[in-house]
This record gives sequence, structure tokens and C-alpha cells, in this order.
Amino acid sequence: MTGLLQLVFDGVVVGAVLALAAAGVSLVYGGLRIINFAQGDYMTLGAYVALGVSSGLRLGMVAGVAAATLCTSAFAVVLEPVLWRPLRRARAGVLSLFVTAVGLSLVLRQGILFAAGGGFQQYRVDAYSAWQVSGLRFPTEEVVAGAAALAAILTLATLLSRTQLGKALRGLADSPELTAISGIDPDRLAVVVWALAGALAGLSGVLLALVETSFDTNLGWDQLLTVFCAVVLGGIGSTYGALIGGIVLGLVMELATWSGFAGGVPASYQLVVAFVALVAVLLVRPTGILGRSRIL
Amino acid sequence: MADAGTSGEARAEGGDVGGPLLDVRAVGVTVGGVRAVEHATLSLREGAFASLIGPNGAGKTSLLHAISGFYRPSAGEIHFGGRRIDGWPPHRVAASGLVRTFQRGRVFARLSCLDNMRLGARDHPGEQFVANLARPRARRRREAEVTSEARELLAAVGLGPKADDLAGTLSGGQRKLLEFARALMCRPKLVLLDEPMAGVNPTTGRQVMERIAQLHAAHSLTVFFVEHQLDVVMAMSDHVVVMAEGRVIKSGPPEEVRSDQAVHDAYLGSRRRREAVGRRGDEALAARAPGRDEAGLR
Amino acid sequence: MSSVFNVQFWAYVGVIAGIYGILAYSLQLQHGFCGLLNFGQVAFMALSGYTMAILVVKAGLGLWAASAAGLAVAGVFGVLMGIPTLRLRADYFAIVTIAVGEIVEYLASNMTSLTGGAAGSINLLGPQNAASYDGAWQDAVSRVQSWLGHAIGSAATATVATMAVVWVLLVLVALAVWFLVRSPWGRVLQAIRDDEDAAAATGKNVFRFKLQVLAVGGVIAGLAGLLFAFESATISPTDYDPTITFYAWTILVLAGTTSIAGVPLASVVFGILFAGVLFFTFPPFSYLGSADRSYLQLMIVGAALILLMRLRPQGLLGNRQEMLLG
Ligand SMILES: Nc1ncnc2c1ncn2[C@@H]1O[C@H](COP(=O)(O)OP(=O)(O)OP(=O)(O)O)[C@@H](O)[C@H]1O
Ligand SMILES: [Mg+2]
Repeated sequence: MTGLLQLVFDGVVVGAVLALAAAGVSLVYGGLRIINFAQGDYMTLGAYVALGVSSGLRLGMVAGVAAATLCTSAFAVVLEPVLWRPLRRARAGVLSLFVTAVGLSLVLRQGILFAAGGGFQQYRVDAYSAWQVSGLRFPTEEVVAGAAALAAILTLATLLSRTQLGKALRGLADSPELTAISGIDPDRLAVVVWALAGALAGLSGVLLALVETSFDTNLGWDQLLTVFCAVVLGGIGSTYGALIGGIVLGLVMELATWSGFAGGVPASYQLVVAFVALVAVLLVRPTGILGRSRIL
Repeated sequence: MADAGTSGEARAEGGDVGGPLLDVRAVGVTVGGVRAVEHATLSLREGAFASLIGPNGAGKTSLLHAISGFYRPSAGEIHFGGRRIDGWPPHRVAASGLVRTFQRGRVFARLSCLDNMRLGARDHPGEQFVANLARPRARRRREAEVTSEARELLAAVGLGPKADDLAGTLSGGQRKLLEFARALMCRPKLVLLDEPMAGVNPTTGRQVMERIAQLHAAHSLTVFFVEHQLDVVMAMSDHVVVMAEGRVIKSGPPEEVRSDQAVHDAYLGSRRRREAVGRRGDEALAARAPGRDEAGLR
Repeated sequence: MSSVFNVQFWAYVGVIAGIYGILAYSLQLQHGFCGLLNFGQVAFMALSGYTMAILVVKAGLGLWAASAAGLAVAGVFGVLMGIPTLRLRADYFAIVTIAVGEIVEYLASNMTSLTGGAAGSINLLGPQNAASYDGAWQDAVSRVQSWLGHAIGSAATATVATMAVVWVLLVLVALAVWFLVRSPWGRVLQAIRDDEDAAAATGKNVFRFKLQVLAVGGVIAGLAGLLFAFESATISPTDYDPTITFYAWTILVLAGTTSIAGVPLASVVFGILFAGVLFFTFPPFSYLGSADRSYLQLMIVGAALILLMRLRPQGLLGNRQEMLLG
């Protein structure tokens, strides 16, 4: 029983962290029709920025997290006029946008490798500190990461449901043509979308690195599949859906390893479990949990 | 050009014997959380030349989507030629002889007009993966048939010179003509036309309607078309169905519809409309209002 | 590291480029002519390669029979993948296929008893017993080599012969795609690409056509997977890395998505670009270590992709006017 509770805890933490990245993918797809293949590498970028600030500059982990969020966001924003705006002007299709994102992902990942080198990295935190409560172990950084991720999720959800901007963003996902006639300046909107998506990726990346305790330049790339699964599971373009999808997926992946569940799936099959869960949901609900069905 | 289907003659003799060709019973359609059509009931006899009118947003297009299988009705039944077709996928409905066109004229933009037309044909062995490879003679024979038919029909709607141009280069009106001609390629029993004249210049529009009327007369093609130009509707159709606010409020011969008070009200201001609908004992209108607001937000 | 003028090296590049070109044709049929965005095509390569290797090594089947089985498995997998995913909206389909590509590689590394695990097909008979499957292929290649020898003498090495075989197959695939696309069957595919709803409204069973094109594309990709396996004598999961799909997409986009003649040209350009980076041995690149240089190689590939999309989204032989028709 304690084993199960431990898995629930782990699942929620990992799920919440992935949910952030998934929400970023969802925002970008919903608003700009870009399947951001580079989202994983944005996460890695965040993790390395935090490493530079917290360990390199010795400014501590809090500054590291803040820097990761801001720098990744800034990076994503800078690329908007440089990379995406001209493509939008040229009415590039989903494929051109996707291929550009693939190229960007390659450049970023190899660029980080080039700059930071291969090999595993760790933050300067005490990896062994943990709270023990009646047989359950709550490693400090997991608790902190989980709390930060949940706080960010709540903030994002509030932003989306309460503010005018959030409503506009959600509306976009259903009919992108609407922006053209709704009077919202598409360039400004794109900047906002990228700022949010970048911040979410950076934050998610540094938190993921904390949870995994050691990481390399494949940190985000390795999670890309899970992040995309979360997006589709929740319903593409639905940011709430992506948040829910991330947490559900985190839970499913951890709980599948529970020994009470048919002896437990080996940890190396967690990704397969995530994928099977995705296909199962899509068979029942082809639009994901919160996605809308196609309208003529 | 006159011969769009020899089998049409045979069908004409059997007309009017059985039940209605199309029978829509208490159909409801929900689109993105909005109830676009409610409890719509209508029937068309074989050989009818019927029209569907109503103010913008009345639910005409949504009803056509439901009949042609693109939307699954949330309530009610649809029967075509004696078979229940609601729940059928669109391609099956089309293959059974009920073909529709789209309001904004949907063509295959990166194919030539001729190819667009050929795609309308039924029973082409070349479209079957195995037969395409295994029966080259049958494929070629049918292809030749289909091509000559396609050229004839293209010429009939005035697109003959455009046969080899990509359909994406056509104007909006030309696309509607092409789409209509494509629909005729499969020799349908019933065509549903969503505003065939909209966006087409008035002269051509009239020619198209005349062409439709000819085909109707020659081959007992049953026609059901949505149109906003009431003079055309009243002059040409033998049966008029009126929708407003998602409901069928009247159906009958043009004279009868023309003199109906509820129909007049439906085309006037909202205050009058509400009264009119209220008179018909329809309190559902009030219940629908929140649903619409929700849609407005999205 | 080879010299720029080494024929063997370029023949090898030609082999790989040709295989990617065949893979690009499978994507062209599915995307250029049917509008499907399949980013998991490498899965079909892996399935047919592994099926072939397992059947030869474990079931003792002949190479050619096992290869046919591999192609069949790839085709069937297209249908299996299509059933749950094709009912999805196009964008869901695209994203799910990314996952499919990764999952197959993942399974190949983890199902050790079936696939030999991370060590690859050499481990199929267990650690002490190095497994090999490509005897019949080697024989075939040496026969081609001796024919070629009559024509071009000592330049006809095994690699050159392999390249010849691969490119002949590429041309055959091109002809098959060309035939299919201009047949009435291919016309329906293009109709689906242009407007799925209108295609359904003309009575075409869109789902069935898409399943068929996934199966046919799967077989073509399976052929690329087999060639990959033959050429490298032993396969491991990383040989079927998901990035391979993106290289093939690069070739397709470079060619122009509907340009059949563009694919071989784009394959050559891609091969030269990709391998050419290896020869950046002049300053400032010569100051870098070999690891750094390989990072740089992929960065340049990525940057080339971005530039291509920016400057010539319709590809080398594509038609921009046509691309924008809607
Ligand atoms: N995609 C959609 N999302 C939400 N609501 C929709 C959608 N399409 C239609 N509706 C709603 O359904 C109702 C009926 O629309 P429909 O298109 O059937 O009207 P129509 O009678 O064809 O109008 P028109 O004459 O303007 O073509 C309208 O109230 C409309 O707001
Ligand atoms: Mg309408």
C-alpha cells in the first residue's frame, strides 16, 4: 500500500512537470499551427541555463529556476520574428513549419552539446535530503519541483480562464481563422504564445532535471514522446487538456510499475505503457480527453 | 449532353409508387454544442423539385450535413429510398445515390477540372487497388467512358475550355459549377444543392438552375436545393420547405408557403419572429438562447 | 576519414542516399499524393528489417523468402497502425506517428529475446554465437559486381555494386509510384489530399484509401529497411533511429512533395550535404575535436533545413503556385 502511495506521489510530480511542457506545445499548436518539435530541446536549454546560473555563477537554485524560465522564454520570443514570422508571411503549411521545428531542434540540441559538452550534470543540491513519513520517502527536490509545477499549472489555468488574453488563446485553438477576423494582431499574439511556451518549457526542463537528479543534453529530447502523448491524450490545442493529459500520463506510467498491477511492468517499458494508454484513449475518444470534434 | 443517364428513364416509370424518396423524421443536429436543427421533419417524393429556404443561421446547411452523413443526427431518423441512412458514413450515402454539394463550392484544387469530374463517377475498377493493377483493360474502358461523359457535362456547365486547368485556379462561381457537374457524374437519384446560385453571376446562375430543371425533367432526378433568392425558389420549385431557428416551420407548395404568416414573420425582425414562433407553441427558443451565447464565447 | 576524391566513400554515400530516397518515395506517396503526415516511417523499416533477420536466423528461412515476409509485415503494420489513428484529425495522426516511430525502436531495444536487444541482430542467437543473415545478399552483390567488372573494370567494388542495386531499386520504386499516382486509384488519393470531405461526398471511402496508402507506403519503407539491413550486415535498434524519418522528409521537401523526378536529385544533394560536412577539415573547423565537429555536422544539417524552408519551401523541382492552391 505504501508502495502504491509512493508511486502516486512520484507520478503526480513527474506528471505535473511534463504537463507544463505539454501545455507549451499545445499553446503553440493551437495558436500558430506549429508542431513544436523543439520543445524538448527548449526544456534542455532551460536545464542548462539553470546549471550555469546556479552552479557556474553560484547564485543558487532559486535564481537558476528563474533564469531558466526567463531565458528560455526570451530565446523563444527572439526566434519569433527571426524564424517564424517570415514563414507565416509566406503562408507556410504545417509541413514547412514542422520541418523548420525539426531543424531548430537539431541546431539547439547539437548547439547545447557543443557549448556544454556531453556527460552527465548535477545541480548543487543535496540529492539525499528527504522527508520520511510513515514509510514514504519524499525527496526534497521532488517535493519542491512538484510544488513549483503545480503552482505554475494553477497560475496558467487562472491566466487562461480569467484574462481576456487567455480566452483569446483558447478560442484560437478551435478556429485559427478567427484571429484574422477578430482584430487581434497576429504578430503580437505570436510573441505572447512563444513567451508563454518558452517559459513553460524552461521551467519544465529545470524541474525535470531536479527530479531526475542527473541529466545530459538529451534530457528534453528523451521526454518529447511523453510530452506529445500528453498533448494528444488531453486533446490537441486544448491547453487544459494538455495539463490534465500530462498528469494522467505521469500517474499511468508510475502506477504501471506497481507490483499489485499484474506484477508490475518493468520500468523500461514505461514509455510503451504511456503509448498504449494514449492509443486506448484515442480508440474510445478520437479527440482526446478535452479535444473538440471536427466541425465542417 | 442531353443524355446524363439512360437508366434515368427506367426509374421515371417507377416514380411515385412507393413511399417518399427522402424521409426526414424528427431529426435534431448538434454542432459544437449548439442545437442547429431541432425536430426537423420533411419528406420528398421521387421526382420532386424542392427547395429549402430560411434566414441565415436557420440550420439549412446543418440539415444537409445530417442528411448526407457528415453529421450524425442527435435525434430522429432519415430514410432514403426505403432504407434508413442516418448513421451511415458520407461515402456510403453518396454511393447509394444521394449526392450533395457544399455551400462554398469544394473542389479538388490541385487536380484538373477533368480529373475532378472523373472522380465523380461511380463503379470505376481503376479506383480499386487490386482491379487497378489486375484488370487494365476494364480500367481503360471505364476511364474512356468516364472521360467522354465528363467532357460533355463540363461543356454543359460552360467549363469546357477549362478542362485541363487546375480546379484551384477557378473563381468561386466556377467552382460551384464544377462541383455541381461533378455531383451529376454519378447519376444520382437525389441531389442536395447548398445555394447553387450564390456567388455565381445572375445569368449563369439562372442557366445553372435551368440546366438542373432540364435534368430533373429528363431523368426524374430529384432535386432539393437551398436558395435565398425567393423569386427563383417560388418560380421553379414544386415544393418549398421553410426553416427558422433550427425548425421546419412550414412545408408545402409555393403558393401556400408564400401566403403563410409564420414564414413572413421568420424573415422579419426578431421581435416579430419570437411572437410567431411562440404562436406555434415553441417555447424551446428560450431554452436555446444560453447555448448560443456559449458558442459566441468560443 | 576519407578523402574528398575517394570513390569508395562516395559510393557508400550513394548507397545510403539511395536508401533514404526510397524511404522518401514512401512518404511522397503518403503525403505528396494523399496528404498524410507520417513522421514514424522508420518503424516500417525497422519492422521489415527485423522480421527478415529474425526469420533467417531463428527460423532458418531463405533470405529472399524472409525478405518478402518482412515487406508483408510492414504492409500489415500500416493497416494496424491506421485503424486506431486514421480516424483522428490529421494533426493528431501526425503526432501519434512520431510516437509510433519511437516506440518501435524502443521495443526493439527492450525485447531482447526476440530482437537481440540493444546489441542488435548479431545477438539473435545469444552472446556467444554471432548471428548473420545476409549470405544470399552478398552473393547477389558479387554477381552484380562481376557484371559491372566487365564494364568498368576494377572500379566495380562491392560498394559500387551495392550502390547500383540500390539505385536500380530506387528507379523501380519511382516507376511504381508514378504508375500508381496517375492511375484512377492515385487520383482518388489526390482528391483526398485536396479535400477529404469533398472526396467522401463523391462516394469515396476515405478511410479505406488511407489504409491502403499506409500499407503500400509501409511496403516501400520496408524495402528501404531491408536494404539498410543487408548493407550493414547486422542491425541494431539505433540503426532505425527516428531521425532517419526526418532525413527522408528533408529529401522529400527538398525534392518538392509531388515531384517524382525530384526525389533522386534531392537524395544526391542530401548525400553530398550530409557527407560533405565531414570534409570541413579546414580552419576554423580544423581546430575542433572530432566530437565537436560531429555536433557541428548535425547543426549544419538543421540549419540547412531551416534555410530550405525559408528560401524554397516548394523544394528544388516543386511548383510554388501549385503548392499554394487551396
Ligand atoms: N461550426 C459551428 N460551430 C458552432 N455553431 C455552428 C457551426 N456551424 C453552424 N453553427 C450554428 O448552427 C446554426 C445553423 O447553421 P447553418 O449553417 O446550418 O445555417 P444556414 O441555415 O445554412 O445559414 P446560411 O443561410 O447563412 O447558410 C447557426 O445558429 C450556427 O450558429
Ligand atoms: Mg448554409
